[in-house]
Amino acid sequence: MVEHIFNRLYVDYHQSLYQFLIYMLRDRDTAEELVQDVYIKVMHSYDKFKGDSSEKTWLFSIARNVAIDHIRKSKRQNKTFFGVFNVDDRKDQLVHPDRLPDEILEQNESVRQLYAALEQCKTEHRELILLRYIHGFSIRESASIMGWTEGKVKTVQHRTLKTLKGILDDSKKEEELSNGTI
Amino acid sequence: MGQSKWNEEKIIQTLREFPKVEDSRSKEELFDQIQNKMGQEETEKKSKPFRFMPVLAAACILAIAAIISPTIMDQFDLPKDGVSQENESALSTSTKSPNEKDTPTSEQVEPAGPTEEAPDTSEVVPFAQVEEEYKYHVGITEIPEDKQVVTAYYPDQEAMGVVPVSFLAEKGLSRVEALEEALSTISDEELGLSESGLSSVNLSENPNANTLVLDIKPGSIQGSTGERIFVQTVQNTAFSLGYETIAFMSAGKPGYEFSHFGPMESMEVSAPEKGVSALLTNTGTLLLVNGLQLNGNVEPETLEDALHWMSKDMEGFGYQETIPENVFFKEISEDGKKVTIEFSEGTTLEDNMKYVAMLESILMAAHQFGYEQVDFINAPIEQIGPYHLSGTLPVLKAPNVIRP
Repeated sequence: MVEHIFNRLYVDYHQSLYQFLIYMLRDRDTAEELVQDVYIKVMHSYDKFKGDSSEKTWLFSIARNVAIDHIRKSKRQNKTFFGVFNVDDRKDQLVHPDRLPDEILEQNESVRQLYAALEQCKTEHRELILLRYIHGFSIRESASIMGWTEGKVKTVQHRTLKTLKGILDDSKKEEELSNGTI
Repeated sequence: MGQSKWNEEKIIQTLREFPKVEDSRSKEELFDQIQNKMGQEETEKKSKPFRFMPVLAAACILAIAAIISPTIMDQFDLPKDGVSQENESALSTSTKSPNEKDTPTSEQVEPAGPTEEAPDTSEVVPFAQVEEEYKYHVGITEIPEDKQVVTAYYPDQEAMGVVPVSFLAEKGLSRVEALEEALSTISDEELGLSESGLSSVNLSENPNANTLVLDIKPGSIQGSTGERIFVQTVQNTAFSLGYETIAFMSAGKPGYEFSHFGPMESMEVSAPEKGVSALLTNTGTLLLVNGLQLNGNVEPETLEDALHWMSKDMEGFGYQETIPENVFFKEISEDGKKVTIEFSEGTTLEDNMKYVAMLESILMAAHQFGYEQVDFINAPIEQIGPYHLSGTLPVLKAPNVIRP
């Protein structure tokens, strides 16, 4: 890899890419490994980048694909070794609770609850929420990264926020039930 | 019970409060790790045994044997102890009617006479290929004279769409008998697909009206997704068999009451979506699928358009693009029923399963647009799997061919 290109990409985007991967995959080791794969893919296709989208959008679409590939591979491995894979089990198979970022554990309860709730969303929906509200991509940029129409981004965004509210409300009810407050 | 503290604004605000999680490695450290990883990958690539060759060699030997004496192939009973050993003669010179466009019917198979420029089919032998964690069932470009091809559709496990799975049945069977044989032979579970809705209905046909008749148990199709998937399954399967109409019955009486679509007695058959995607299922099976999983209602109007979209990222629930990012097309031109595809300089191709799937997706898309033959120009390698890129190739008649 041409070092000066890497240096520039690192300075401009690295921490953001890493953060995206760690929030997607919820494991520091995996994110550290996969971010290397992102740069390797970038190296292989950098001269083909046509500038149709911004460089940042392009990098995130590569990071997204790398993350999805990893999730898919984990899914296959789990199928092979642990029997039938259930989408609902994905979080148990991919999350390493003892490796949650310290940064999250140190946060207030709302952040921790929302972080947990995000895990229950479909992978693509979680991705979109991360892109929109943590990385600040516009509807158009998110559509470009996800390969969706802008209409679909709006619809899924709305639906996922609604789903998140439902999950958070349910967990609140469960908590109240277990505390005997209702 | 306390009122929920969560609403849309609160969720968005909280997301924005998510902490920054930073990579503690220095730029130099990371760069070294990337360099090492690239070095390792390069070494592994060079030292990797060429797994493709044994299967390919076996296919070539069979192909040559078949050319010398087709009767040998008829008597050939290959071991069936694993997919890598699957094989069957597909070297018949039979082909479909030239005026067929988008209707790959099993009934229209007829022997091809000698042509001035016969497609190079000498090594187009179907087999299943296993490579690392993927398994791929090669399609067929020529249908043996004594067979008919049945392509039945199965829902993927996320109910996002339906997936074609092909089977070679005896030619003497009616289309419904052939379909029933296919449905009883194909294992959706092994492929990582869901059960076909056609497995639980009574099938018959009205040949005079070219109609596939389904007698459905009342209430057996549940939910709007279930109905959508069922109709897609029926539509695409009926199309592959060459039917023009589907008639619905329930308990022997005309019509079926769909809970969301309402009552329905019949439906015109329409072609599946154009363009081709790939689906990697959770059993590690790679399958070609009609249509582009781009979520943007993309309906390609030309083969060029389709190939353009087939190289776009289409990730999600196992779906992916079939044309890798290092494959570029310079020009696509047609001459009657033949299309010529020229690769650009800088395209890299490899002789492995991924590229067999890529090539077949192009041949499948060419079939969707009514072409019969494909020429490739400027391909950086001579051969991918059983396909010689230097000769004219017939289009793909059926994808994902399963052999019992």
